[in-house]
Amino acid sequence: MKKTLNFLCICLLVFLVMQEILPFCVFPFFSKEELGYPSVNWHDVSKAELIVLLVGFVFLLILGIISFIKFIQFILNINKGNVFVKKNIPLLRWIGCCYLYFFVYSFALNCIIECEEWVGAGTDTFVLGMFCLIIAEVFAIGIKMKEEQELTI
Amino acid sequence: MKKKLNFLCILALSLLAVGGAWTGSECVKGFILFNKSLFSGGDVPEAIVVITMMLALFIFYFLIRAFISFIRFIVNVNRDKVFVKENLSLLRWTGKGILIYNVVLILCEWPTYFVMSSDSYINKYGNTHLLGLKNHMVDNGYFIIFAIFCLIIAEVFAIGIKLKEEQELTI
Repeated sequence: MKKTLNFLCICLLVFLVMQEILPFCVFPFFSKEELGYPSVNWHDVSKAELIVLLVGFVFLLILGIISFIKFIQFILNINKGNVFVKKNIPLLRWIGCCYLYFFVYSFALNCIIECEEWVGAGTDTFVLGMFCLIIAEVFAIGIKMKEEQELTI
Repeated sequence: MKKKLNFLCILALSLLAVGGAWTGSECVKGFILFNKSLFSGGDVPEAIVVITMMLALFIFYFLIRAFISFIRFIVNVNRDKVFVKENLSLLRWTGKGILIYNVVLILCEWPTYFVMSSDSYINKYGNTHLLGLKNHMVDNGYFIIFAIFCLIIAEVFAIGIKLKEEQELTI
């Protein structure tokens, strides 16, 4: 059980880092058309909408870095065997909220700009965000159970 | 704690239902488009059509099973059945299903992308760009993270179940 958990944690850590680095290594070698970027009509976007998008994007960057760090912290905690500990709950809540923000921003982006295709993150970030929030509550139950067990002993 | 969990579960279920219905309709549209583009060419070998269909059915089985497992897991958690053995297999199926679906999809789409972006294909059929390289790199990434995360949480649940069994034995 412990070995499987360690193996999965290492897999996820490697994949998380790979997903952040790989686009920067591969994208410069292809043109926009080859990468399949959707054509965006920026002329119809008003100044107010553009400011909202830019402010949202700054938040997106900050939350992206925070969620990345918190995710790695959480996985490292699990890898060390610190599973049902209180510090994991705020970590999971942060990750969940950040991913939900990604979904909301992507939804707003698609509402504001006129585009043939869906731009940015889709339902995957929403599912991951909701799952993290649910798991945070499950962890709270697990920690309560562990505390009760320690009191019994 | 309990109320928050129930609220989150109901929210997740209702939005998953909306998302599932939307994705389903998009899949049907995509399937019709795929069929039209496949048969309008006229010179696609039948064997390729059969293999594609079989592969699509194979990966859709995993995707649908993962989706159902995930919904059943959320329903279980909502009913206060948290650390039970049933959740372990449900989470493992969710993780495995999504992982297999995405890995097979990426493995099949990479060669397809390079065939479609080759000069001989573009000269014959035009620049279709049905598949973008960006989609492989970014869009599937979060789903793979979600799948591995599900498998990790399944192992965490195994620890939780062991803890619960020990607790019940102590009492």
